[in-house]
Amino acid sequence: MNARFRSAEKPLRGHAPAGRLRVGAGLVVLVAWLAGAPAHAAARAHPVVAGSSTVFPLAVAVAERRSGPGALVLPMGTGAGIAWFCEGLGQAAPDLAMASRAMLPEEAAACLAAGVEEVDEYLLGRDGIVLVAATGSTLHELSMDALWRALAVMVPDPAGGEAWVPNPHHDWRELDAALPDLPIRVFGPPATSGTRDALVKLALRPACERALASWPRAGFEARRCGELRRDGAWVDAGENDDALVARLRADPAALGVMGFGPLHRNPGRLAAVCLDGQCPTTASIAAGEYPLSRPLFLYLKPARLAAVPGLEALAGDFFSTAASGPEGYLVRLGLVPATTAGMALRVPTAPLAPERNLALTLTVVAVALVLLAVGPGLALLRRARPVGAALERGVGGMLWAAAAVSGALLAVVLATLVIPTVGFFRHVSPAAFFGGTHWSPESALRASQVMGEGAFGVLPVLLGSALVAAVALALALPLALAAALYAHGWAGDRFRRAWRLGTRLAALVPAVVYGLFAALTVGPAVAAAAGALGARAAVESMLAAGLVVGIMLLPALALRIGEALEALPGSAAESAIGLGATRWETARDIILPAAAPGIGAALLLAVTRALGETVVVLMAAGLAAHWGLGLLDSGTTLTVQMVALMAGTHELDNVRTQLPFVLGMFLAMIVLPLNAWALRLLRRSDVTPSPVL
Amino acid sequence: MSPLRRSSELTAGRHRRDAVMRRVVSVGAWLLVLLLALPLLDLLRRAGPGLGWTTLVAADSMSAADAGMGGALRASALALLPVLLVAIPLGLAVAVFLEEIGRRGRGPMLVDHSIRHLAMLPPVIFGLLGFGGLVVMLGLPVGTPMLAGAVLGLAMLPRVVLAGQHALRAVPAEVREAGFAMGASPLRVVAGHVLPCAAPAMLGASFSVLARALGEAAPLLLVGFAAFAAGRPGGPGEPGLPLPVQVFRWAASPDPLFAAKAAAAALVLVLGVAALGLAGWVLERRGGAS
Amino acid sequence: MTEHGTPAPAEGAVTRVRAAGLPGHADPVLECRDLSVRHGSEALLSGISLAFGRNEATAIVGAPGAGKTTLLKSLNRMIDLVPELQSSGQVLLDGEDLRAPGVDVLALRARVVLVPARPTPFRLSIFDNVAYGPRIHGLAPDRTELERRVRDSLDAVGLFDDVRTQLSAGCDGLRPEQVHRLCIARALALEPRVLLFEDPCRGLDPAAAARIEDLVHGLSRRLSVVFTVQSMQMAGRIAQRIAFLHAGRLVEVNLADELLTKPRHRLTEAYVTGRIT
Repeated sequence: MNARFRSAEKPLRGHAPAGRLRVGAGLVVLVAWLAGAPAHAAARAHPVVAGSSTVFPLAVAVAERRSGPGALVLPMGTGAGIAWFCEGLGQAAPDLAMASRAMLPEEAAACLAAGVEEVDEYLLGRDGIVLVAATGSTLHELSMDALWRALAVMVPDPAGGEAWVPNPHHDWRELDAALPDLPIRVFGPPATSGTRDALVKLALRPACERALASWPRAGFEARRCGELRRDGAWVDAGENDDALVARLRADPAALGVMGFGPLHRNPGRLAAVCLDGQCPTTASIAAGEYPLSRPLFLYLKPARLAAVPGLEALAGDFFSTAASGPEGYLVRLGLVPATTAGMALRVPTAPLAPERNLALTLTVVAVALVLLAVGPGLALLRRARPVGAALERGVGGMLWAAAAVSGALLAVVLATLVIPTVGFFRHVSPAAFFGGTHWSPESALRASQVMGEGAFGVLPVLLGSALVAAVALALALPLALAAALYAHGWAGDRFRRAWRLGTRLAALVPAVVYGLFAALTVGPAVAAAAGALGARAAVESMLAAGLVVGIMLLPALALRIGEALEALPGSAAESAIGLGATRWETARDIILPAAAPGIGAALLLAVTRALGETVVVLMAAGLAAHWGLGLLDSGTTLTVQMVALMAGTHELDNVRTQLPFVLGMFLAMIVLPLNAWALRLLRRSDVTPSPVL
Repeated sequence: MSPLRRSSELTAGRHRRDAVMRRVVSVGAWLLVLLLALPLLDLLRRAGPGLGWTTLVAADSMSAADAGMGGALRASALALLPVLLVAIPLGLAVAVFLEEIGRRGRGPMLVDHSIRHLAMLPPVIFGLLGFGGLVVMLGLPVGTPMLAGAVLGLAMLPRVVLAGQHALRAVPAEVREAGFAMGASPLRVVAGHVLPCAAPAMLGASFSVLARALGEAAPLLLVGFAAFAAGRPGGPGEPGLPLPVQVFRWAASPDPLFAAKAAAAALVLVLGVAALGLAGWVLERRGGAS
Repeated sequence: MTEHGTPAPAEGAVTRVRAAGLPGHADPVLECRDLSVRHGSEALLSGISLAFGRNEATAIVGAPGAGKTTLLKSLNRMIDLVPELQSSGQVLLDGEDLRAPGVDVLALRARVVLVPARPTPFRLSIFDNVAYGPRIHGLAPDRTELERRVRDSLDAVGLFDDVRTQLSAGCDGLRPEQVHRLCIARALALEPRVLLFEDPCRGLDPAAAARIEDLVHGLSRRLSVVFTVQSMQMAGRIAQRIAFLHAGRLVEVNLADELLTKPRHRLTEAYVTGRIT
């Protein structure tokens, strides 16, 4: 007996050292390759351009005409773009910044502090800040003074008092009898936008300072001259010019503030308001006669020219004849070019050192080791041959490591959320956040960009999330319940099989599809229906968003409720029928009460899904910043604000940049207990939930 | 009248209520089917003017006539690779550990608990994690399929673990006992007996995860994908917006042709997701049956 | 290969055994006439003609898939719940065709009550479990009548003494055997004509199973009982008459003792001796 076993083992022992050597050598080679590969792959070879959304369409037009590794162009606002630009010389920061105003001294100082010692400024051309309305509006002419009086946070008292009062004007006619009788509603860019900076600097501040000169006892400080009113007459409408055009066409009484480019690109749809007798045209802007004309700049880090292959060509293209020449494609897009003779770029004096990315390398190596151990390791174990205990321990250890890392994932998630949140609450009181009812996170990335603190009362945002979830569940729950009852109570086998497959596939339909449906069809339909009933509804209403989120929830909810209905142990339902109960009586008296915990869990999971939904609400209700609190108004949710407020900057030491994380933390704090409750309910019931993704 | 035919008020009422409720729930079921079909039908209706070779193959552009989803298709394919090659195997490995090897102990239970909660978090939150962890700490370049894949992989990892655990729990105890009875170590039992049994369900779940990752846009919007990517990515390190993000970008434009192209791209996306989902379902049924 | 005394029947043909002196056939409580149930092209039951006697227990015996449950469920039209099945033929309760149009299925099921396999209590109190049947059929207009029914039913199954103090408590504390009794009491509360049991005693340990068998046997003296079972021996212990089904056909029906000791069909014999299962 022993002899037999021993002879079976001997050949293996004989081979073992050579085999181990081979495996070891292979591993070393693999690790070496892995150490190099990710760093190499993650080395950025394409240009990154970030900044002004006014210059964005121009940059896109230039970038798309280039071949080779395409550029990435991010429209985030001049302020945010320059802040990111000035974070350093590495590949994590953009190479080219687009700006609709000149770089400020403090921004230049930030660049210097971050090690960016050379920044070249190129004047791209001129642009105008225009006030536009949808075609057909009756508002054609405005004086700069009227504009300021319409938008400022405090104005001279129309009743004739000495001190200035919070802006009481609600109609244009109140400012000037010659103006039409329309409510004052102006959509404009947020505080991170250079367009907003230019509006304040060129239009509002001069008019304000002129007025202050005549009101010595105004009780209003000159440094607050650029503050805009927050009572709804001015609306922060995001960076997206296209979305703004759509809003204006939906709201004929409103005005929008944008660059000259979009006006030029939407000839039939928009009409410009002439200011102080000057109407915005290419000629009047180029000549500087239009009062709100401003220069457009490109900022380039010459040191990056060597590191990024396509950067030089890309930057040069802006000034090429094809782009900026008389019939150039940029001119056709509305640019008033600074020069038609091309521009020579300055070449850097010293090349950049290549970047090392140790963290990435280590991560990739670790992950690869785990996968190697697990995959081939398990395959080896599968074969019915004796294998060394070392291998078993190795594979077991790697599996443990994988689990530990995944557990650490939660810790990392929490850390990512907790650290900025803690920083945030050092500057903003929790009472103001949780109890405040005004949400306008106007805080800038630089203290001097916009005056005043933002208001960080999260309640309106939370209300928006709750509203969408409520509408969604009101639609989805009855339908899903009825449908699940039908499928599992009355329907035949064939229907049930088709139903199971159908709901599983339907649950996979991506949210963008529903978002598209909401934006293009449901939103306008709801607005039209409301209009027919005499109510006023925004095209991007919360009702529309909620309805579509409800449709999106249907498959998963129906599936889960079905599981709860089917999970009843034994033959309770059959017993009831056997006693002469109708199907409905069985469902009402026996099945539903027993399935109640499972149904409750399904409901809770649907609620958390609705609260966490981002894309549908984003597309349905837009990146609007004005929110009514009603179903028929456009609103915002926690998730939408997370996306809207995310700036690309890596510096998370600032209230504004910490905001998305704070909102994420808040969302997680709401969702986690609800999910825990659902899990408790599921444990109580007999349902083994299938992990519907 | 025979007792069987005597229909009192009570019985008549019971039959009536049953018939009414039957009508109500069947209407509910068909209404649900209709509502689910509406967005897809709307897509089909709107996609017409947007369909064409250019739309399918060209790179993104400012002008609606020249824009296409070629870049987005490549970006999505490249972005799914890390999910397929890393997140899914890693997740299944963790599931194996949690279910088969490390069952007792506070550590594994903590991991199990936290993964279950992670899997139920909205994916947007993983966008924040992606920014903090992947962009800031690991330095992955924004707007690239590499980053997209990493973020999606992170977001899907907990769900893979959960699905893997579900598949492993479905393996009957007899299979494991048969292995142990022959004196095999736990890992051997898993590798040789349990895994082959759970493989179809795991495969099916993997495809479902891929389908979900293909359609996910929310976490990507937080890591710098709200941008324009010129050209088509030749590799994971070049800029490219995955397909759902591309749909999102085109949908924001007031140009009706962009809206039509958005619908066309969404159609392609739905087809891709449906293909993956169906493949998973088929694999699961076929594997389970045999 | 041929049966004693009767001409050799074709494979699977019905062997109706009418022996002299057997009670019940002149006035059966339930009778099937040429009952067939099909699922598409597949026949689950073919041409069953069978009578069930009053106040006696009849066992339907057969291998899994023989059609026992299908037959049982046809007796109170629970087979209607599966829309894919088509039935033909007649089922008569006291001479009246159950499947005729105009018959109230609910009233039928109050008279011919089915107790399914794996009895499961409702998530109600013990009292409400037993009272469920009378309540939905409106059989107990006032509380005293309801209480009487509950008490009598629980008494009849031998459960009343055990639970008399916990009638309003839930069913969680009941042992499996008590659950079995409870579910039988549920059926008895309707004071039915016929009790149908699907595989009684499934899942019980032998001692408890023996007690339930005794209960069913005892019930059959005042009620008509029909039950399905796989084991011939258990059928012999409980029932007075046994009907043997094979592949959807009625092979043989006879008094229990006769069928077990002197099976007339070779299939019956094979099943009794355990050669087919």
